[in-house]
Amino acid sequence: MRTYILRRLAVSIPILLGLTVVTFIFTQLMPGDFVDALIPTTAIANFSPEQLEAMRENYGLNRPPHVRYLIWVRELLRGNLGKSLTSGAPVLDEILERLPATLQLTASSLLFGIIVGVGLGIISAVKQYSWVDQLLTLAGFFWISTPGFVFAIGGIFLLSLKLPLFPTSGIINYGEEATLLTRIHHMILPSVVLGLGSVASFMRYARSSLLDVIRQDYITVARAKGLAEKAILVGHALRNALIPLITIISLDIPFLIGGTVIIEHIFAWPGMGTYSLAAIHSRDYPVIMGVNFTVALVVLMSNLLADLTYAFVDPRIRYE
Amino acid sequence: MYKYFRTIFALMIVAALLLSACTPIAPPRAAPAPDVAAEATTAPATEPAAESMDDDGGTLTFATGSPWGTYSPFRPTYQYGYSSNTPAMLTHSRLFNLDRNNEPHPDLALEWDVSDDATIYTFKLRDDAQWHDGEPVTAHDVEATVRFILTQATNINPQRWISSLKGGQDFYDGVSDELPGVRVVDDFTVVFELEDTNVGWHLSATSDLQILPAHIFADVEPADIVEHHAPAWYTPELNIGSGPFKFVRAERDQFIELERNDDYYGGKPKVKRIIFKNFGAEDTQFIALQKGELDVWNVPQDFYEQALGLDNVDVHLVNRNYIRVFLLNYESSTLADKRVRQALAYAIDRVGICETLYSGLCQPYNSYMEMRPWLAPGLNQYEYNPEKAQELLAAAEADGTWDPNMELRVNWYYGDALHQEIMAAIQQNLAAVGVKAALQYIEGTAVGEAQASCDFDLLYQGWGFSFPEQYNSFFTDAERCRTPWGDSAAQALFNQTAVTVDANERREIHNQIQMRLNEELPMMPFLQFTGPVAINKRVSGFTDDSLWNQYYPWNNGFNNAVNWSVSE
Repeated sequence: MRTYILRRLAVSIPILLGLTVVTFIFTQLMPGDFVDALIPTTAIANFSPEQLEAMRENYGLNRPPHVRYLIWVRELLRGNLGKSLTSGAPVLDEILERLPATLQLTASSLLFGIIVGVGLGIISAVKQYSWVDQLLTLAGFFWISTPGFVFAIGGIFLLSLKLPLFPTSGIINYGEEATLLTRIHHMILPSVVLGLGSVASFMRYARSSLLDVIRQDYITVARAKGLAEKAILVGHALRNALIPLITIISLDIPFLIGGTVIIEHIFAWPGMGTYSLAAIHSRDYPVIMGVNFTVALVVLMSNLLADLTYAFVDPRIRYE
Repeated sequence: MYKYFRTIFALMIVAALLLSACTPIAPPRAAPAPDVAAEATTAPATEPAAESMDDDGGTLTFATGSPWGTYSPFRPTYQYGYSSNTPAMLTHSRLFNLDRNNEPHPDLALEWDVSDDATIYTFKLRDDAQWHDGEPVTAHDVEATVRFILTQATNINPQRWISSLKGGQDFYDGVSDELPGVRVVDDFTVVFELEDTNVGWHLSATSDLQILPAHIFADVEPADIVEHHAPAWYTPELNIGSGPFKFVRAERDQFIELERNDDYYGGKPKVKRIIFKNFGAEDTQFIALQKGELDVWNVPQDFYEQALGLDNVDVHLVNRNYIRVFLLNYESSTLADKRVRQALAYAIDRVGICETLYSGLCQPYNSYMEMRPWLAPGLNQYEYNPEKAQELLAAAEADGTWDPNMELRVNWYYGDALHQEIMAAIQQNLAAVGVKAALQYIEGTAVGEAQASCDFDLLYQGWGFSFPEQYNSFFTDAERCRTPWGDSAAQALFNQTAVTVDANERREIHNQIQMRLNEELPMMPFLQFTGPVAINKRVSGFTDDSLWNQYYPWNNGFNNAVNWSVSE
């Protein structure tokens, strides 16, 4: 197992570096640079080309792209993600300040998606071809094909304005004691909105997987032995049916993190999504690189964790 | 195996709760604010949040943008051509403030004098102003502020000061420690001396200069505050001003909290507390406005008609000194004949565009001069007249200066769907008079490069200058297509405005320039905008200047904030 983990970690390094190269190339392909984004177009006339060049030099933007990339990699190896061009603060500190908010949103969405999605998937499978199954199938298509921002705006409108159950935005209420409960209260709406896509996905996979398992010989044998249907479902079918879901869940994590960019913006959630959106608008290259590197790292680690989880839940799987 | 799943679920729940608990958030309102809390005469640091909410005055809530951009961060000094935003306007004072009609009003300076040749500006300060920590505000603070913003390491680069102030460039370059352009005569008199005559310099250079406390900034390292998002700016230790409100605390990307300064020289403000809160996307902001969580909101055009239907807010319309123009490439042979340029102006139905696409929040405009009091009388209005446009084009074609097979490249940088529709409408208008137009959107970040290389035929652009003197440099420092015209006669007139001290004479010259540009159309003024501001009905005290200031927080502090109030 240890060898396997080390091997996976070693393989992750070139993947990460490859991702940073791709990210860097994309940042260079974006029109304009940080100085262009910094100065309002109506004020650009106040700056001479020499001043603009001096500003670029000040920010190190006048060096060739490959040199800047190599400097970034060199500093990365020293544990330094550079400084934000916008704030002047270390990117690592800013990411660490915001990462928990994003992970909180992502984890709670995932949790919501798993519990509700798998639960509905089981119902759908058990009640196959019934009106419940067909209704859930229809709902699943609706959830999966509707963009998250539609649910977000609709959710705020219905559940914050019309039915004032949840706050419109933010992470706490201003002037309110920040307890765990208030935090969870603020988290529910964005988490549910972000997790709805996952619910549909997990529901369909759980249904399909459970139906496959139910048709297996050992289930027929269990029935022949006279076991109660509930015992068969919970004790034999469900456990095996849920194993493939681990892959689906791990594959869902990048989509959830990607989805946070929009959801955080709509709900004024102070996480990595808001941060990266601002960085892209302002062409804050160190932040764009740092955020992408961190997200890539989280995704790779979650994939590794999913593979390791297989070994725990399925004794037939061994990593050598 | 079931226990494994159970364990995993349990771990996930615990992880979510832990993450929830670990996420950095603002401390509750009652959290002590070091230094400022100790100095504050109201609301002891240990006072519970709910109690302070009940204190007289109440809380007024504004929305900040999300994500925070160039204008929003709390930095009470210049930032690349603009100063800071409304929070800094409320916490810091200026020498004087401009109202929406460009009229100066005393602030820290009670009176000022401009020498006959407009090279020496003398300011007499009031003697009763004090910083939020109780220290008196003096002329030495003004001098220190100017020296501070001219220090290159702060990366503030205030071009208007560097190039104008006597010895400014040498000081900025580090050649000299002396700055002869600013002199303290006595504790309450400060003199600025310029290299050359510069009419109206004080309007553009000092109106947005937030005065900083010398005793605080003497110990500040430029490296710690070099950028507008630098953490040091978000501390009450650094954000000590002399304005009507005190900085209490801020959480980046979340909110800024101010509380009233009971000792403000302009009188005790009525409202107890002001919050600038990030409400997220515009849709979320609109719902917060409906819900009463947000008190004052600059209504985006998409929400204007919906906002009119809300019962809990009044929507005020503000005449904005903001116009949209088409820069015309005056180096292009295609547009060399002024009849062609005039034909373009006649061909486009600007009234129709305003009414159908801009929700009626604009009107055709025919001058570079955004300030209506300075608008020249008798300008040609270029009312929609496609027949006239065709006549002009036919005449130009007959003279060989217009080829109907030529295609004009129309560029714009507003990345929304609305502007795609507007450009499509313009394309149709032009096609109706036989002008082919190719539409090409360019990123806002690439506009400077496009202008510098004259890589366009028509470029749709927004101008937001608020007083005529700003045009002096804008038009005269022509560098190819970065400014609207390379015409030497117009430049000579603009140069003249910069040395004409008498305001009436200056206005007359501007009239001449406007008439000349209106006839020649080297750039095509297009529309002037009206800005809707929604204000909750529980809020009062917002004057026209306060409303106007919502749109120009970087340029104007005459917002009468001491009279803002809210009823519970």
